[in-house]
Amino acid sequence: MMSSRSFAPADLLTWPLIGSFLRWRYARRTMQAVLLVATGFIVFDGLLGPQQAPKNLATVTAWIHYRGLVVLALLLVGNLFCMACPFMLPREVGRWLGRRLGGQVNVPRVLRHKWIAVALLILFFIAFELFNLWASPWLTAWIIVAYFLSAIVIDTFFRGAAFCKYVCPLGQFNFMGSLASPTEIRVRQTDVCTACRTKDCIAGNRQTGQRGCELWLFQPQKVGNMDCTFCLDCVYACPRDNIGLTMRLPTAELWTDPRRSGLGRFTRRWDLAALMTVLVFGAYLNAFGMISPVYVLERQLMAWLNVQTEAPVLLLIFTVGLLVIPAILLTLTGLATRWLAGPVESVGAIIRRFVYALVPLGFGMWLAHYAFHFLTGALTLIPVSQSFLNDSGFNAGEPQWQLGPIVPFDWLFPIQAVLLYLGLLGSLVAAFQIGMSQYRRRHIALRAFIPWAILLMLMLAAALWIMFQPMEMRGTILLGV
Amino acid sequence: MFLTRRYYSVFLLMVLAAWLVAGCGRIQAGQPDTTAEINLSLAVEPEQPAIGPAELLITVTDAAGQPINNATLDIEGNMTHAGMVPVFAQAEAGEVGRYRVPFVWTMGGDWQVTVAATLPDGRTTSAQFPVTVQ
Repeated sequence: MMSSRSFAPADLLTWPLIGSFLRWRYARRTMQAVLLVATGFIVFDGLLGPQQAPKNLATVTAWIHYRGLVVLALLLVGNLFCMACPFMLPREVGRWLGRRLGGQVNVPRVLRHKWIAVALLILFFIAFELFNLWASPWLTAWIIVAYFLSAIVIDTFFRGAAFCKYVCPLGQFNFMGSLASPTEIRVRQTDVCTACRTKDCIAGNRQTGQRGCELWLFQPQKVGNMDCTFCLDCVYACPRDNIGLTMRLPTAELWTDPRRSGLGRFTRRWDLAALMTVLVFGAYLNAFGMISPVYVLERQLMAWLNVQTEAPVLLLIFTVGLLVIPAILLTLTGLATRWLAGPVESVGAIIRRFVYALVPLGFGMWLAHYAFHFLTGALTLIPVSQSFLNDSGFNAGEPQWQLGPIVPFDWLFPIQAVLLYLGLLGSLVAAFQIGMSQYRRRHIALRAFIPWAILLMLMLAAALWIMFQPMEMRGTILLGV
Repeated sequence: MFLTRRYYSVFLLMVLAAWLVAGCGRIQAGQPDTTAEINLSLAVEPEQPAIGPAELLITVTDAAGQPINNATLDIEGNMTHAGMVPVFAQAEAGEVGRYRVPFVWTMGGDWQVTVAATLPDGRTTSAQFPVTVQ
């Protein structure tokens, strides 16, 4: 990783306009403010506007535009949503409250992990299906409000970016996606950091009052994008202007397992492995929930369980889909790797090492799914906004309800397939490189790689099958119950 | 720090003002229509809706169950998921209170069909009907 820095990759902070804006100290606050105002209107419409999902700003922006733009930004640039996250402004209220209430405390060591976020992600995936969140402007608005309140409460009592690092499910999704992003915030010249004694990038700059990294990523030892919110605090704090937003080879950070500042080694953390597993297999379940066969499966399970409600069925589907199937697949693949490449390390260690190879394909699955919604519904924002303005007393003209897709329908599956193949390519390269990094000799690395390549091909086949099914926009009258 | 505090104060005031402006407008705009005692019912042909052309059979009756002809019906089909283009249709004539309206289900899944009726005497009503398209 160090040698690649001598190539002086393109640094977005040195680019005209974009670079100038991002280097402006209030750039992030300005972006957050814009999104906060937008979020205010979204919540307002969700609570008080028309309760039809296609006609409400809350559901249209949250489930079509937010999701679509987030994955596109992660694919093309990096973790831009965390950079402009509107939940961060009210967090300042929490900090202020914390000081008034007698100060904040550090997050207890026992809570410094991703297990809470993993549990919240699973709960969210289940709630998304159980309460048909995509169909309810009112519930969508309340989720946003709950998010704001959670950020405020947690940051009232705990120092740093406790909410971002340990709790925020959206942030964890962005961290996962950013592992495959083409940019990274990192040191420009390592020798400048070697001579640094003040460590402003993490301790904060006493001269300017600029705080340092609140996610405890010390730039000289930071590797990759995990836990990096692209907040640029380190950029503003560094008195030597030695931190940039640089281009890099996507997924390359997954190939090796160095000690990472604020994180340690990936291979020693089950919580991170679980987070990646839930997000990768969650991509499949989330997409599976939108296609026709899920109707049949749920009906059969309801009959088999002899229940009339959806909750136990969903609990079973998610237990199998997020726990049982991943555990079986990863264990079998890990066992096969150990058998083929030799007993260098335990099956658990092999899983923790190679599970990151699944990330590009998992991210490709999220991309393919969200791209469908975005490409088929991006322009619906126009008539929905017109309707919102008209209802609010402004004259925005007759809503253009015929607007919707931005590409012909025939293009959708090819686009989704390309995204999945890109994900597969990234995953195959990552799996082989992880093997090379661990086993050194090419023929042993190849043996270690084969089981993961087979698993990835199976996962690609499953992804293509799901995407090939006719998409059903399920909603509140599921199963006719 | 002073600049930062002032920045937040101005910003929060702007957000509050924007919400109030929008909120006042929406409260006025959200007044419900006068709903007459009119019954609307919906049947779909084919009975098991599938993607493609279909017909909606809408029946309009008064409180005594007597059919109402010559109402204007505005029909709007929306999926329960955001991002889908709505389908519109209209009917003006009816026989024995029954209105047959050509319609197109553009995607499988759950739909909400909203029927808004304006009677010849100017009275209005509306109703929503869930439909699942295979």
